[in-house]
Amino acid sequence: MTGGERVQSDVALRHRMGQKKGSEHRMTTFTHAAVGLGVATFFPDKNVLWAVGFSILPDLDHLLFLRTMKLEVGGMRHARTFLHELLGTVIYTLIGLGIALFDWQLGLMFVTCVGFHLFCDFVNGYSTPYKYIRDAPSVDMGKSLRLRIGQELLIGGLSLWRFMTR
Amino acid sequence: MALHDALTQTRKSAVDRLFGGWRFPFTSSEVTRVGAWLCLFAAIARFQEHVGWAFAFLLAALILDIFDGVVARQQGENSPEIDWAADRYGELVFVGALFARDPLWAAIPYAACYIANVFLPIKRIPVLPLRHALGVYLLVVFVTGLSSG
Repeated sequence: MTGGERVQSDVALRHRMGQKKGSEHRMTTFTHAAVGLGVATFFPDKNVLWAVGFSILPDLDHLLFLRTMKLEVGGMRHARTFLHELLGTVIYTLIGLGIALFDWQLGLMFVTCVGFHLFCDFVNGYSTPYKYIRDAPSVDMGKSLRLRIGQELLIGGLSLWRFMTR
Repeated sequence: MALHDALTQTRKSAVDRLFGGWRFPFTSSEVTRVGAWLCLFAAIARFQEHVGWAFAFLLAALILDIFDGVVARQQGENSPEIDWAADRYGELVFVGALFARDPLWAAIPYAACYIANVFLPIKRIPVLPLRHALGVYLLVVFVTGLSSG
């Protein structure tokens, strides 16, 4: 299936689910960076920049969609690969545990930062968690703008507070 | 498989009998969302070596996991994929915390079971009760003061 066909099938799936064709809400990269600062406090021996970098790393897959995605208020359209879904959590976990063989703390920081990132994107937006694993429809946990903002403030604020008071 | 289905059915009917008459002003996905956040808080508490808080948050998440089914059945909602996915993400956030704070004999099986849980549904095999096992483990650590990593 080509990228274009996949986008069309996503849109078709969403229509079957009764969802409007709209943007894929997710947590902002700034909040992910803030979460990285919070996670860094669990690994005091490691440079904070590693944590921030790992926390925004999964968002690199949006770059694959530079030509097709459209920026919209509150999110982007069609800007995720399977690495943002449950299959991605397994791949990232295995990569992190591989890193841990060489640098224990760095590997665990990787697993934690990426895991928290994917968790935050799940609770704050549209996803197809079981894509390529199970025939299950998409999930939209971010339908309410107020709720999305509240969740971003909660996790971002908590992380920054932890970082500042470490 | 039949035993698992029977146990699930028994649990559902017992909980429905208990809460069936109540009217809830929220949806099951909101309950699922709160449960997922509680898992994240439990993982953070584990990172901070607060075993008691980690257990309390996880226990609350597990109770909400039962409760969201009651709300869904009562309100006629049928979106189990939200529950399945929230459960997996709720399990995911503990992987780093367990490797960082607990012995490898606890962390490695947990990570292996998490990975299995992601793929088990392909063959329609019920997922492993990973968070329940983690809850028992945290309770034992909390009560006995079992050494952590």
